[in-house]
Amino acid sequence: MIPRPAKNESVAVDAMIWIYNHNRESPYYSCCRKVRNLISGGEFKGCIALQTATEIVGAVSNPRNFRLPGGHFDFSSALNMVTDIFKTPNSRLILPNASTLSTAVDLCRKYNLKRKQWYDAVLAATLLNNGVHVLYTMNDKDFLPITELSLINPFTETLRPGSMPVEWNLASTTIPRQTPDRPSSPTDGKTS
Amino acid sequence: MSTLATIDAKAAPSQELLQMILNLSLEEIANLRRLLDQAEQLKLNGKEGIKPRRFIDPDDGGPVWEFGFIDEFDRASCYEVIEDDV
Repeated sequence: MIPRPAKNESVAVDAMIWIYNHNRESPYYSCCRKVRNLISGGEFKGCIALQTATEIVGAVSNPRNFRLPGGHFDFSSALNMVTDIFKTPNSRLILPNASTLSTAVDLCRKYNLKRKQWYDAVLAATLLNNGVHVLYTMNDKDFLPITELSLINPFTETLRPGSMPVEWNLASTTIPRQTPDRPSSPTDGKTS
Repeated sequence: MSTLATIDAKAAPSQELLQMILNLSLEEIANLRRLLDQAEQLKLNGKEGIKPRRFIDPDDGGPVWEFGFIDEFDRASCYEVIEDDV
C-alpha cells in the first residue's frame, strides 16, 4: 500500500509521477495513477509546483525522452497535457516566493549539494516555503539529502520521514523508525 | 578535428568510443558536441512532434494519453532547448 498523509496535509507530486499517471504505456502507470486518484478522491491535498509544470512541458516535448524519433509531443499537445494536470481535482498550484532563492542556496550549502542537484534544491525550497513537507517522487534518491522533506516513492511504496512535522494516515502508513539523518533503505526506482 | 575521422561510432563499443573521446582536447570535444547536436537536429528536421491520442479512463474519469515515453532520464533534460524547427 502506498504510504499517505492525513487528509488535511498538502502534498507535492513530482513531474515524472504526473507524466506516468497520464501515460498508460509506462510500467509506472498503475502506481502513479493511484497517487493521482488519492488526490482527486480527497485522501489528501495535492500540489503542483510551477517548476514541476515547467518540467512536464519540457519533458514530453523533448525528442530525446522518447523511444522513437519524432515521438515527442508537439508544443500545443504539451500545453494541453499540463492543462489537464492542473485540472486534477483537489490540487493547487504553488509558486516560488521571495525567500525561495535564498532557501535553495541554503539547502545546497547545508547539504553540500552538487550543481546537478540545483533543480532538486529549487523544488524543495518552493515546497518548504509553501509549508509543504511531503513529496511523492520516483526520484526519492535525489532528495534524500534534504532531510526536511518526507519522501514517498509510490513504486517501491517506501516512506522516508522528514524532520518537518507531518500528520500521517496511520491506517495505511507505517512510519519507519529511522531518523531523518539516517535514511531508509535505498530505493530501486529506475528513474534518475 | 582530424582525430574525429578515426571515431567509428557504429563499430566501437561504448567504452572504447568513450576512451577515444577522452583522448580529444576540450576544444575538440566541444566541436564534437556541436556536430552531434547539428546531426540530431537534421535528423529531427520536420519532426515537430505528435498529437498523442487522449481519452478518458472510464474507471476514474481522468484523462489518459498514449505515447512512447522513455522511463529513464535526467531532470535537467526537462530544461533542454531542442531546435526542432531548423
